[in-house]
Amino acid sequence: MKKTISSKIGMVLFLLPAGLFFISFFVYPLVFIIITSFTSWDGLSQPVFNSWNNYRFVLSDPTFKLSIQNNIGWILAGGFLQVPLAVLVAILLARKPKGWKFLRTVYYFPNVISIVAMSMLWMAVFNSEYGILNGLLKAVGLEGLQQNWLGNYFTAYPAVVLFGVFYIGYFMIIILAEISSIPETYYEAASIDGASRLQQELHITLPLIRGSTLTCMTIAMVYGLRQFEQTYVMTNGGPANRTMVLVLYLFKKINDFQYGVANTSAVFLLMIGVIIIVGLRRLFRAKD
Amino acid sequence: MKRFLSLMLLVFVVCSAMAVGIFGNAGRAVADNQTIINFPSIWVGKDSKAVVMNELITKFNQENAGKIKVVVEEIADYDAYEEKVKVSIAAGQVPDLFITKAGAKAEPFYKSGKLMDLSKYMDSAWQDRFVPGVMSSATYQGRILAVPYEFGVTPVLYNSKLLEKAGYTEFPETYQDFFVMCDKMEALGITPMSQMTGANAWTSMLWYSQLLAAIGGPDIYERGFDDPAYLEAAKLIKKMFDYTTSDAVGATATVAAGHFLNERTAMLMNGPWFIGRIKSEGGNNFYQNIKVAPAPAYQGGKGEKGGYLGFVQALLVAAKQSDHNKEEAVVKFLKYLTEAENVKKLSMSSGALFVIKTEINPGDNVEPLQGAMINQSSKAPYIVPHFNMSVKPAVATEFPQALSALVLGIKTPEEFIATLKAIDTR
Amino acid sequence: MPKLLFEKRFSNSLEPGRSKFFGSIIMWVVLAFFLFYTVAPMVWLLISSLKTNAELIASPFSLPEKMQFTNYTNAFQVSGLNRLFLNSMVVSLSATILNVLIAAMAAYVIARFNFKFKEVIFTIIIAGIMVPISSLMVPIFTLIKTLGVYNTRLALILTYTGVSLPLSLFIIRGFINNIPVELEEAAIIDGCGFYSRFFKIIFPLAKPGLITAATFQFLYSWNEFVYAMLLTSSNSVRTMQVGIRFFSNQFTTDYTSMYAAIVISIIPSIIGYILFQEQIISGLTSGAIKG
Repeated sequence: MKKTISSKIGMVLFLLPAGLFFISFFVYPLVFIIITSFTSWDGLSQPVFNSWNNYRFVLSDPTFKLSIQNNIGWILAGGFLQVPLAVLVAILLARKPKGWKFLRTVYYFPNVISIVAMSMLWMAVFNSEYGILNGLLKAVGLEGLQQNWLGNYFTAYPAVVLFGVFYIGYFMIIILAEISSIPETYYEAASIDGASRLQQELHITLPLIRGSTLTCMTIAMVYGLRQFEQTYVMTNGGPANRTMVLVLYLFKKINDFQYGVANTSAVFLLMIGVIIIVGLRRLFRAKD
Repeated sequence: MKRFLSLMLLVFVVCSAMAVGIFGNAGRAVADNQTIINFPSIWVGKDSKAVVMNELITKFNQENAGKIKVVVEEIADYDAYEEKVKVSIAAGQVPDLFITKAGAKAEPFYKSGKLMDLSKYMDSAWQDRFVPGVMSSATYQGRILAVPYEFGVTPVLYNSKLLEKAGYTEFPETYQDFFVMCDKMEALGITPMSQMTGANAWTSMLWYSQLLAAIGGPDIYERGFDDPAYLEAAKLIKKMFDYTTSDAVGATATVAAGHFLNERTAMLMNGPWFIGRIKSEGGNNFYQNIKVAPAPAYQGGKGEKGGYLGFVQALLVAAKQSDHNKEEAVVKFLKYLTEAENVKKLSMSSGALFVIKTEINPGDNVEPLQGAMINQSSKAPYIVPHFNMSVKPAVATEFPQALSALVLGIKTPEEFIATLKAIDTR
Repeated sequence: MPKLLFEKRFSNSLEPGRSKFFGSIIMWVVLAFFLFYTVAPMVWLLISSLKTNAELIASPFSLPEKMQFTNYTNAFQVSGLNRLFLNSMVVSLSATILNVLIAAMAAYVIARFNFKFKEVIFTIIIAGIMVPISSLMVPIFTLIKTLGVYNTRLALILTYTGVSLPLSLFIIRGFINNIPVELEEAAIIDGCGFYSRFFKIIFPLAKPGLITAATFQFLYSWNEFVYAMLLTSSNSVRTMQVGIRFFSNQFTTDYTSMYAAIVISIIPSIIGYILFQEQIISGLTSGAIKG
């Protein structure tokens, strides 16, 4: 767009508040984090420069590696299970079946419950003594599958990750909004050409909601990378660190008076984040 | 442009109008020569000490009206409390007065050089108020940097009704007998005990501490992970998980305690603060059936019969002050909090124990379970702190993870010890 | 079933009726599953908030023997919920308005104008979405102390506005990108300046985006706990989430009163959401965007 003098002033004025906030709440804190990541610091005494020691330490820590691996699982589950499910439900609701407005509202509700309360509920569901999941398995004659879901080395991680995948409200709303903005005429034209409903969704709806899908995938992946409360409440990273994630790892280091190491893991978190953001933007731009 | 300016003006007006409300009580005027003591406290909300603590502080503020004012910042959630204290200090703001756990958890604070040195105030009159030997927990490099306050003991709490079913009217005195009893209970379909590896593995960590003391003796923590007692105790704690609920791996304190309160398990290891819940959350006649006992002794171990697990549960620490008046004010408040009469009120109302000597008169209505704990601990040949506060914080953090690995068979007892030792030596 | 839009939309479909029937069965199974999955936690929370702690621990999925409305009176008394509730409202609404306004302004410039290093700057800001906010506690605490707003509602408003700026910017820019440039070009010919284009064209047309961002921002501010605790010290300026944690103490947690407090705390979110939702829909069907 053409830039006049008044619009140049406007641009500066419009960017200024965001810039100030960004510098205060991101640039300054991140510089602080990066600098202290090169120190040995208990958070109480003076930090002491220790070069790449923290980096070497976290890279050699098997729990740190496991955390990254687990976070990648979270990210994939968010981006490639939760969001596609949200797309599916949004497409179904876009057909405006009976009660769709009600469903649209209700599906969203879990997002307003605090994660802590939600996690406590699911802990009770997965419990092996009185949980309803085992109860359900027994009722259908599958006693053999009963587990201490959150205490079993193999089931704990899938259990913590997967229960949240089906809470799609957030994303479904965003995607549904974009589907509703697709002009009716596109579909009319397609059906005159003899396209089936499935074909219409595949060839009209999906390409046209790419923008909101990218938004949702980004957000879902962000949550996957930053997630912490669920794991903290439900397993505290256990059993045997099997469910540990980066932010929880970082928190434990703060708790152990190891701020230098904690900030080093924050730097890693940030780097992974940048890779995801750049990767996603590339991926979606390439399709244009 | 006009429209934009008017909009901006509107935004400005709205913002400034809100700011008035937003700023809240910041910058509220204070009386000229009044000393303010900021005291972030966990003894608030629904904590058992909250009511009396609040009364005590109000009374102190009244007595010193115009001179000293203690302002309590309420942080009920313990994790949030620790986090906030640490972050404030990291950012260069030490709270005037705060609470910390003792042992390894307090050491980084001592080392920081940011705490008030109480040595010169701790005269014999003040020191006499405390039970003997407790000052060591507050001393670092010869200086007294804290006031020991709350005390904790963690004996075995057991359901005598369930033990009687297995033929036991007295709690077993050796681990050998203890496991025989567990077998009998299992045979009867009774799950012997609550264990857990969730959160900080509290109950199981206490059991492990008991085993360490029973096998390795009271000075076990001084001898490091190479002492064979650690390995032996690891084998036994793993065995204990054969006698617990199916959800023990990953169970939190709430779950472990819940099983005990609902008679799904017969034993739980916990402290005096749990008594209130036995009364309020246990089923009919549950409270009448609960008894306390010292953990068993280990045949061939260095520990003795009746040994107790006990530790300073809370220390009061103060920030170094540049203003002498303020320093005096903080000390005055600390002395007030440690007055026998005040401590007694706190103890009687909450069931909590303190390291300050109080006289119990015949007329006083001491809670029976609390009384039993006091009685047993006073007869104990030694009192040993628990594992978590005796090792580096990083070791304590890893303990639940290593324990669950041990119980699940991912790690052998030898590997369990090796893991903890590796973190300790790092 | 009444004559619905989609029937018209797909009336010429070549699919035979039978597969359409199965299709709709599958559709209803899917929708019903999600309905149960989302309603069950709400119901559980509500029921649990009416039990005693003993009942909750004994059997988490049973009904209460007697409804414990005292949990609700507890929730109000112990934590002084009224005050906290009001603070949460002030903080969340202010942070939402401020955040969305600032983000929209910046998003407009980034979406519509070219300047040096634009892509780099935008990518850096967007990368801010990935920053684990809770790892910034020490510097943000220092910042707030330096600004002299510690222990005020403003501290929380500024922090919430700041930390979610990247996300809001990202969302809003996406929506502005979808608004046809032609509309603005026509406005320029009509003599519309920079500011009036923003307020007259972009603001109304990007409404769904603004509301999407506002929803995220409001919920974040409403549910945030770490900074709410860190940046305030007196109950007169604290928020609901801090109040909810009043029930969790060092040795015991009063879960049922806590759940009651949570139930109280989610009511405004739900009402707000229902109100906003109509806004989203009306914004979309107003027609302008359908081109």
